[in-house]
Amino acid sequence: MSKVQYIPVGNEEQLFTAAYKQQLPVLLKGPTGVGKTRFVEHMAHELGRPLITVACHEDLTAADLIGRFILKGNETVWQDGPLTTSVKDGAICYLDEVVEARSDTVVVLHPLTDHRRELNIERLAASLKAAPEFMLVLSYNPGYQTLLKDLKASTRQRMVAIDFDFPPMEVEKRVLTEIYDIEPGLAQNLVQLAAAMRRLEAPGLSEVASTRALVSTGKMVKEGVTPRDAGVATMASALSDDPQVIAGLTSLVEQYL
Amino acid sequence: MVLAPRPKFIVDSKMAAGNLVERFNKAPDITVGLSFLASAIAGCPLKVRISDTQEQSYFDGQSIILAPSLNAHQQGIVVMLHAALVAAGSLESDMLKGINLRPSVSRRYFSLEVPRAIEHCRQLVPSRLLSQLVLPPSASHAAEFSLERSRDHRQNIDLLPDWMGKLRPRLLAKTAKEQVRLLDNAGRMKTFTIKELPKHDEDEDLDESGAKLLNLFSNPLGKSSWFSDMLRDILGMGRGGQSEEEGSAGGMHGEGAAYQAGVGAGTSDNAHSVDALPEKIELLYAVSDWQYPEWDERKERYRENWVSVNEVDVPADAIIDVLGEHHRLESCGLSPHSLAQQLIKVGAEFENHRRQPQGSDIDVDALVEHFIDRAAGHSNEENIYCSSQRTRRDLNAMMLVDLSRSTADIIEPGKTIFGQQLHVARLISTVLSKFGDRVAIYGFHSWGRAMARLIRIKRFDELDTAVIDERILSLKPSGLTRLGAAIRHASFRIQQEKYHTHRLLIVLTDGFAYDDEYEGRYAEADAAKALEEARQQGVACVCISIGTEKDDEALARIFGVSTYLRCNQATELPGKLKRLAITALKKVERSSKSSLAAKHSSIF
Repeated sequence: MSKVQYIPVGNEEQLFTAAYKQQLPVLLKGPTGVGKTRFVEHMAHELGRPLITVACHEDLTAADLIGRFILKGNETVWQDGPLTTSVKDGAICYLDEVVEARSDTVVVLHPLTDHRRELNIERLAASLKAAPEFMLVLSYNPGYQTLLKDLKASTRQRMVAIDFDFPPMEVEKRVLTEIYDIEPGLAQNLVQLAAAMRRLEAPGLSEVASTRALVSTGKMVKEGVTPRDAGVATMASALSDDPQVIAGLTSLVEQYL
Repeated sequence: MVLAPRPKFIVDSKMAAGNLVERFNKAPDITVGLSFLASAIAGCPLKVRISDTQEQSYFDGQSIILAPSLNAHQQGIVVMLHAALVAAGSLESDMLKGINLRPSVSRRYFSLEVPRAIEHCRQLVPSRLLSQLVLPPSASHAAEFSLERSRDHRQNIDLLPDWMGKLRPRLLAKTAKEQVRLLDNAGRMKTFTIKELPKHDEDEDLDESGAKLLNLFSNPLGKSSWFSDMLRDILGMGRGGQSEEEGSAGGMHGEGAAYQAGVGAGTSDNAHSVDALPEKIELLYAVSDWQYPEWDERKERYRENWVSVNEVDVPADAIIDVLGEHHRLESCGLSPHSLAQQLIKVGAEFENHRRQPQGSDIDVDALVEHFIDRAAGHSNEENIYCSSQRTRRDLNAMMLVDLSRSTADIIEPGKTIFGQQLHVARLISTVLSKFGDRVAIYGFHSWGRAMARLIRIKRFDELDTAVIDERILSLKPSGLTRLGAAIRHASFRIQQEKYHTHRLLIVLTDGFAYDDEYEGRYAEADAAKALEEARQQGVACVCISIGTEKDDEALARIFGVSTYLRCNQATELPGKLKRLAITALKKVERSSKSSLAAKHSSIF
């Protein structure tokens, strides 16, 4: 895996490394687009472990993680799921947006996340001991769809939680300039615009401007789009469908860019 | 600064009122954007509008009012300055008190605080605006210090130019107080007026004092309509003809007073026409009229084409009135979160799906068949797995909200049945829309059988936007309750929707079915009949009644034992709503299955 650049905000690297060494599962909490996935990729590279990512969704069943029998030719054969593969190979298994998965799916993680560190595969009537390098990382966005879903207390208490939030302005600016090579003047304006948007409590604006959106704006500008147009496209229109909110955000973009 | 042309507001062409469209296309394009800027800098929702008069720009505690003479660039700067004052804490009540209403101090304080506030928010304000703004260097590090300096007239202070606006401490203090009160009551009802008025109970001599009071306020200026409206509600005359219990308790006096004052309603036909008039039925453009039958319980037959129902949009000018004011939805203390957790399960269940192309387990039956087919030389399909999936069926839900006068009853300070019902309807609609269900909100009230009216608050095909809130805020309780006709029409509307796996009608009412020649057993029987018809047509119906005194039996008689919910507080809803809705849906499913079975049995 090639090196992933990441600018730390606090002690997240130290926490992650410690958890890895002590074989503890990690829970990354934070809004969307602040670099959770980026951080895991970075740490996997630093620790020299392969990373297996699963984007969780509503229909994700336990079998999708563990594995299932499939038909091959004239016989049924067992096929490992991503979690089983990680457990065997000692990879970092990253379950992105884990609350999205069905609650009965998350329960299969429990024996993996405590001292047993084993995966029960009921269809094979087998129990698999995790390789010492295996690490489970979950990500969870407390602001996103928590309307409906929440992580069970029994899952939460097994985790080492690392909190993510929008990076401070200086760090966010460094992310834009150093990692994505965005021109500093534009980066400064983008960061200020994002800070302003995040302070809005406008109705209908559920997700706020993320670092990811800023990066997108910067990338659009690199292709010759004017900052204003890029800002409107990546932040105003993308964040809302309410015409009034879009008009408001558009004009906010125009004030800053 | 020149504002680039902005995309125009998309306004549904079906909104008939032309002036609304015009307003939305023209007026807010500058102020909406500036409101966002103001709110972003201040960190709390602020509005911006342009003054009608030539006065200096100022901030009134909720809106930044811009002088019309400002150019676009100056507008941006003035908004930025005033919002920054909010963010920097320059407008705290201690500071306002300290200014002590002296204009010179106020101006000096403003001139000192603006540079400090801008410095405070340097990271937040657009650098483009900042770079063009020439301000004296910040000579103060705290609001207290600025105040001290501005009161000491020996100190020289660089005054800011007039176009940057001024402080209006008295106005700010007043708004702050009002906001506290609004927060306390969290509602639209201005409770202070209620406290000031003598409270009349049935045992008081209502007819004299009531009439006098009403005369007192029945507007020499032609403006105090809301006041007399409220009075009517307080004096209990608004409930067109009163419920049976009240009628017997102190009814004679009450009705007499109502009649004298020309606002209440008796139970006779004449009294009704008196009632209808002062309420000023707005003549709204109705799309068309529908005729519905009504169930006559005594004769056990329908009165055909008995009730005229029309459907109207929320009056456009009412919406405009509201935009400028600081109304907000009456709080019902209900969190969307708790509501959503319940509603997600309505119409959704895990089901084992067999013969799937992929799944967690092998479907042995399908597998055997597959091998047989293959041995026989056909079929390449490998639908041999089974998987358990949550199937959420499409749900069409309509909220039918009782807007009749009787819902203006106050449950507790700041909370009316009217406001609570609308807010609950709004929340349910928002939550269901989030799930991708199709939701509509209609209000209803009536003035006799010739005029039962449904108000479109949100149509099925409309998005859940802020416009809905504005419409809700512009509504006022009025009229009476011809429940049966409203249910029949709502049921008709919901059946017109194309996707109809599940159809749910949620009626929010105080349960007082009452209209001209429509009361007591007759009204209850008709409403119950209307619900029965709806259920037969596959529409699940539930009733939510918040904070009403109506006894359970009456609601049960109309809505059926298991499909009504009466609660004193909206907050009691989430615990019960899911079961209520699921029961109602199941009921319909069963009845449609049994009617299907009946059909089959008649065939065989």
